[in-house]
Amino acid sequence: MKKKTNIDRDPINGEEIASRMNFNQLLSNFPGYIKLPFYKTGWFITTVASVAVLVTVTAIVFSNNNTKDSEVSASPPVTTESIITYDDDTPCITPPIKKLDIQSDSYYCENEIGGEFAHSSGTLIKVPKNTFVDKNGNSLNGEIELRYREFHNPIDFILSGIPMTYDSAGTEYTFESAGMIEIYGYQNGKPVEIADGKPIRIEMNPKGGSSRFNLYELDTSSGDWGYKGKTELVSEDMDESIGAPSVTSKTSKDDVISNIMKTKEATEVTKTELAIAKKEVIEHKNTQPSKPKTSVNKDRQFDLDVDPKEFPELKNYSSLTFEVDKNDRNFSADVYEIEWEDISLSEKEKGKSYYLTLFKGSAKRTFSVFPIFEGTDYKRAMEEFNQNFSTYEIELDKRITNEEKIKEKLKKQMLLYETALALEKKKQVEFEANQAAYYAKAKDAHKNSIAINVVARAFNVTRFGTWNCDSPVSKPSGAKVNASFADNVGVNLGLHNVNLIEKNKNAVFTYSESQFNNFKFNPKEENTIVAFTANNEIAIIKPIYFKDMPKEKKHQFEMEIIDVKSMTVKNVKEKLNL
Amino acid sequence: MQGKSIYHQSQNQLLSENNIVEAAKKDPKQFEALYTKYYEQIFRYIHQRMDDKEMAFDITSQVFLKAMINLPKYKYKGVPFSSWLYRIAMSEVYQSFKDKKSTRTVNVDTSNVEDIIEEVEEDNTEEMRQALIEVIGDLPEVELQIIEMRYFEKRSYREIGDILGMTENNAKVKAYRIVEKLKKSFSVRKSYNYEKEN
Repeated sequence: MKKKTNIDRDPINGEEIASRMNFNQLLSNFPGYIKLPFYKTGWFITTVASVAVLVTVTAIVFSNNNTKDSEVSASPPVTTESIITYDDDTPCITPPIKKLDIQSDSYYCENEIGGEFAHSSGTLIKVPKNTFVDKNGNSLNGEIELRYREFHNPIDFILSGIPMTYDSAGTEYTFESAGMIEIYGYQNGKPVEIADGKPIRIEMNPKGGSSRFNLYELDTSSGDWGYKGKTELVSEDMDESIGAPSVTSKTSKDDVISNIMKTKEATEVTKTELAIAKKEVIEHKNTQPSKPKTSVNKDRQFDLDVDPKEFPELKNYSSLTFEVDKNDRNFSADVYEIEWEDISLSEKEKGKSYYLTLFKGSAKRTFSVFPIFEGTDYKRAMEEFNQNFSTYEIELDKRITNEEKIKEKLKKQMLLYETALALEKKKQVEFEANQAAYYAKAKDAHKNSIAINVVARAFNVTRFGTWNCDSPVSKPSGAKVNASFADNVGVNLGLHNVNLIEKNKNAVFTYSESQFNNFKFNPKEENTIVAFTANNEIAIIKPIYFKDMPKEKKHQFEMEIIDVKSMTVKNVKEKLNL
Repeated sequence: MQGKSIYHQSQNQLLSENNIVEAAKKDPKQFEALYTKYYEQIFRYIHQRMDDKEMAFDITSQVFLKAMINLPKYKYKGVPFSSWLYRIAMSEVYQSFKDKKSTRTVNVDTSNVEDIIEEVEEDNTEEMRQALIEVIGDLPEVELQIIEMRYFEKRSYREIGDILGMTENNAKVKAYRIVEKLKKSFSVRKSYNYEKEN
């Protein structure tokens, strides 16, 4: 992203900002807000009613008729009605091209009955009865519409605009996904919620059945993913005598690994906290008040009147004597023989030492000086010092205690980390033994024609939103270039970010413009780069490009531009062939 | 920063603000109180990051409109409503950069630069101020945001954390790491200049 820097720009005053506030205009743009027609507005009704009453009264007077007065029927009170529509758009989900966003499928479910729905991908959506409630937690009757979509590959992730990075203690990881879903429920167009303890179970294609994938839920307002535990691997019915598939033991091993990650991250954060605390102690030590000094050498002194506004720390002393530091070699007795024209005092260390400069014409002499106190001034300075020193010590104690506390916390965390490592080692041995036993039994089972197969990856959805089966991975490494991106005639595309896809990883590594100068990829992998231009075209670098790419520090990628105006998601996938 | 952020609120103030939010979910007219309360600070947040004043006003309106539309999804988390508004504002601002409707601008107030110089323990010279402004402009976006919020907009770590969706401690740690990075960058610059001069 190109940036411009302004220095000391003129501020805008609050009045100007306030003058631009216009809530009525905002309200009129609100899609659910129905602006009342003029004949329903309060002023109109009041006016018409008053006129009608007046006309009626006049008619009675003039006709002198005893017939029943015609009643003026006022309209019932009109309230501003708003229909709040559920907008799936969220601050963190921004599909790069809206028309190529992955579309939802709708499934209809009677809440009192529940149901099981098969998505086109083979996923089963299992809804228990009475799952849906309104926003106040009241159970609902009748038909509920489930809007459901899935994202399985890098193109789905890119086109959906769903963030695929995970921040863990300040380190950014990319998600390698084993499948992501988005599910929402509605009744008569209004959003509904999932009742506590009635989760919807999703059973999706296991994608190889690896147990390293965790479950995460997207917080749509912040764009962060929250860790929700493990996904469950479901195997086909097996002979119980074979023993439990290794899902259980794998899961517990993964929990240990997750614990190692957590404890390691915690220690890293605490180490930084400790560095901050240490710095705060050092900073405070630098502010230690110095004890007032008395005269040492009368041959190195100057009497000065000091402006209390400039040096508030000296305000209690109207006339002060400063003595030149004994180590200052600039000083010699001849300074007293010269008639100086001007003199200045500047701070060296607040309240402790100063620079005194004498001027004459273009000549000047600077000395390091400190104030000296005698008699009552000394007494007063000592009182001030004692007071300041006491405050200083209290604060210092506070900071040192804080440092000690953090040290203690770090010690405990290090212990937890080491315990987690030891446990992992133990679990690894157990896991390998368990796995060997499992496969040995499985081999026997296979001989007896019993199929062993992980058939689904399952998890429970406890809230509507976006759920992801992921494993955090680091960015690729191996080669690094300072990259720029142009079309095939060399014109820079001005991209804000590019997406790197490795064929064997179900992940999208996104590089923002500020990271182009540190564009890393693994040359041993089959790489593709996909980006979107400002004209809503897709720009792509195919794997073959990397094969012929020269080894250089700076590289301009010349991208193929694909016009997607008339394309569907399917066309795009075919064209990109990933 | 002018129009200082109304962030620190007591528990009672937060609950009373949430009552307004709940009322606004039922009747959009009630949103006016929140609009009036936060309009200036959201505008300043947006304008701080771009040059075009009119665009900043347009985006501010867009932020409040989006907030009203998405209000049914808002869930009270014990922090001021403004942190949700800021997140929407952040998203809208970056969308405007993406759509090339505006240019990312870093607005530096020289008096704030002095605070950073103090943090990185460098001499407060004109040369150092210029160098720092240059280095800040080159920071990655995430780091720049933290520097802007902490040093230019004088926000607390708690508020920064709420806006960026991280813990207060994490915001503090990140800011500390950025300052360390700046220190390192200056020490490299110094040794380079030293070698050049000798």
